[in-house]
Amino acid sequence: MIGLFFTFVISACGSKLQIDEQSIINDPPPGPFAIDGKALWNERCKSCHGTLELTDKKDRTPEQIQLSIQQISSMKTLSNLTSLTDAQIKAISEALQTEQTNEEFASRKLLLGTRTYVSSLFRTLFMTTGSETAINAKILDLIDRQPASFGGPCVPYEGGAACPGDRLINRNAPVLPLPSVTRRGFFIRACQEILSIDVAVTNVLGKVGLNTASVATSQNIDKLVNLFTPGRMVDGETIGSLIQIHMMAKTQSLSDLEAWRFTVLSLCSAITLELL
Amino acid sequence: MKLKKILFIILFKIIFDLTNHVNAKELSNLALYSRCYAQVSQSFMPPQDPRTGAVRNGTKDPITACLEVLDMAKFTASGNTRIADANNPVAVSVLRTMHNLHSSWLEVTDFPNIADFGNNRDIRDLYDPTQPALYFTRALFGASVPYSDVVKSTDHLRPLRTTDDPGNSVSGQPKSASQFLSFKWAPNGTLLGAYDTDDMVWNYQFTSASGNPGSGTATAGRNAGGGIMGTPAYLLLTIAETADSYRANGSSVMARKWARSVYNDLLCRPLPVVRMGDAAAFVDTNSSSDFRKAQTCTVCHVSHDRLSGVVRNFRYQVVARFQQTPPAGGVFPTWLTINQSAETVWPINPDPNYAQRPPNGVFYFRNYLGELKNITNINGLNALGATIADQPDFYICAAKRYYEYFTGITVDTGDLGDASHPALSPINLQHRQEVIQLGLDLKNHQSLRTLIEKILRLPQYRKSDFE
Repeated sequence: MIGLFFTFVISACGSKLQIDEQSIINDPPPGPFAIDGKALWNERCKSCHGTLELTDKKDRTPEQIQLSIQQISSMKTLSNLTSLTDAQIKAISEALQTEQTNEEFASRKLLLGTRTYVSSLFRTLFMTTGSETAINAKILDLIDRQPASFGGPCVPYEGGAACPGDRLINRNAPVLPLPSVTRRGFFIRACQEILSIDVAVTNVLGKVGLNTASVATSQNIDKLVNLFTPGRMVDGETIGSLIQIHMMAKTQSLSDLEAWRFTVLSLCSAITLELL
Repeated sequence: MKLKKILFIILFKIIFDLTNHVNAKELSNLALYSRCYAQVSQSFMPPQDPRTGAVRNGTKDPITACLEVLDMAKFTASGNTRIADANNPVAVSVLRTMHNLHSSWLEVTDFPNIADFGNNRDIRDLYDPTQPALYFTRALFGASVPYSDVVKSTDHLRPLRTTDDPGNSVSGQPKSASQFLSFKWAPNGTLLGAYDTDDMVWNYQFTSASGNPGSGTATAGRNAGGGIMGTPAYLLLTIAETADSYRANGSSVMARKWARSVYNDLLCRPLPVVRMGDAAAFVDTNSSSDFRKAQTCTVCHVSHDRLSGVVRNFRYQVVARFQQTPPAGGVFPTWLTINQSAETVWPINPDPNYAQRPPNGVFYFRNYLGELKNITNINGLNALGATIADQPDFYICAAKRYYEYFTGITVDTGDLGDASHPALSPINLQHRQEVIQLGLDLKNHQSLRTLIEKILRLPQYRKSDFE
């Protein structure tokens, strides 16, 4: 439930970050009077050249397509190709484009850590002795074993537990992973499940010299924020909000441990943690 | 319930505020070091990191601190072939991270099904498909290795991992069950470095499943020249003419996919690498090949077919093709004797003697300035390596890739003068210019470490969104 809430909140933020993410997930639909190049491809080209996603004919210009239809013997005899209008060929060409380079902004990807980064983040924050097996199991399951979501290729020759599962399938997991709802979901779930283990809460507090009896002062909250995002400045308002969370939990008669659990969960769930 | 509602509202605010902090702000020294640390090691900077204090109080420059982390993976031990401390987890992470990055630059990542061997299981045991990327990795971490070595070295690099000759195959089968008992399998375990092997010549002798004796010699470690391009693993990965009887014929059957990979992997240029008009003179309606009759096809073939002439003498040596299902065995590169004279033109029909003619190739390429490079009579892989090392695009390509990794910005380094090339926005042109300059500088100083340092010291690297 909390996970779903976070996903909703994050997608509702409307920040530039979210626009980038959404544009990756959803292709804009064609306008009402536009020629649907994708549909034309599926109807007239797919049988020979494969799906739009997998074809090796990507990024062809209208001129290249036109010349191919005129010159290639197996194409020039097909009336469903020779009958294509200039506008239809242009629409097919547009559907074949993989990258829009003439945008107002640079062609920039969000820089996200791969699964090795994210798992080391969780281990650094929530483990102290290295023998916290329950926490380690969660990290293995929700981060290390998710190369498709978090990126970080599995090199079959590396062996060991670093990359469980089918290493051959995951050998091409990206070194520059893309944001996705699935990745966010795994990340937030990892925060929730790890922080449901009491020792994870006491460990993270202990790393900045706090314990569950510590008071949520702005100084103490600032120490935590600095642990999660070293050197990143956070304004007083955000610190104030975190203190409010803590205090509200206390006024509802939750224990000190629960109050800190809520506070740390808020920090853990911020997307900033995944960004490099 | 009420508490939950209020908490959610506050959480929304916190997430929004924290997220806002990633937009266009200048990072503090510590945040900058933390970002850089994460990028070079793909691990979170631990609070007890020894450089943190000095970076925080301003006595150490954050990029200098980060370069110290990068330098942990320098090959300073065992004759400059491996990292100094195999037990240093940061050094191991840095080496793994950068080698994974370099491996991702190569478009082919697994062996094709050569000679119809089921699942390539034995080929993967003999060769590591990430081995070619070691040429980049060594150029970064080796002692004074110039970047041009990536295409000029004649070394055969072998990964140095914790186990040099593993007892089990990649798929977990024991070596004792393999016909390749006398062969050294690809190393496995943690990557620790790279070293130059001998030719790895093996005399094999065994009885096949059908009871027939088999014996001979196979060579697994001979670099045919041109650095990465002539390494056995790269040839076996990219040639992709999978019949064991493969012979190039100058027309229909060529190592054109190898050449496509060379343009893509080393020059960052997908085909076509020349303009449509550059192909016009090579269209020939008398050819038996369709691709010579249509300009839209010739525009690719004119570059990759002719470049692949430098590996025309390549053939497979197939060992131990057992009568079993699926068939199993190993494949090694070997080279035909040259006993025919050189051709004078690009054949329009299959030439049965093509594979035994001198390995001449043509580099036909429009560079980042739009200049047509038509370099003919390139004799063999070493000559091709020298040709590529002379091209600014080779260095611009490396700059483009590191720039993308460290800033997330994809830069178009193609031929903007091509009418079919999309126009770039002013901001994209600005990034392109930056990358071109970094590449031209690399051509002069030849140091990947310096290239990385220059990227890290760009003003935009300090900005939280790199704009």
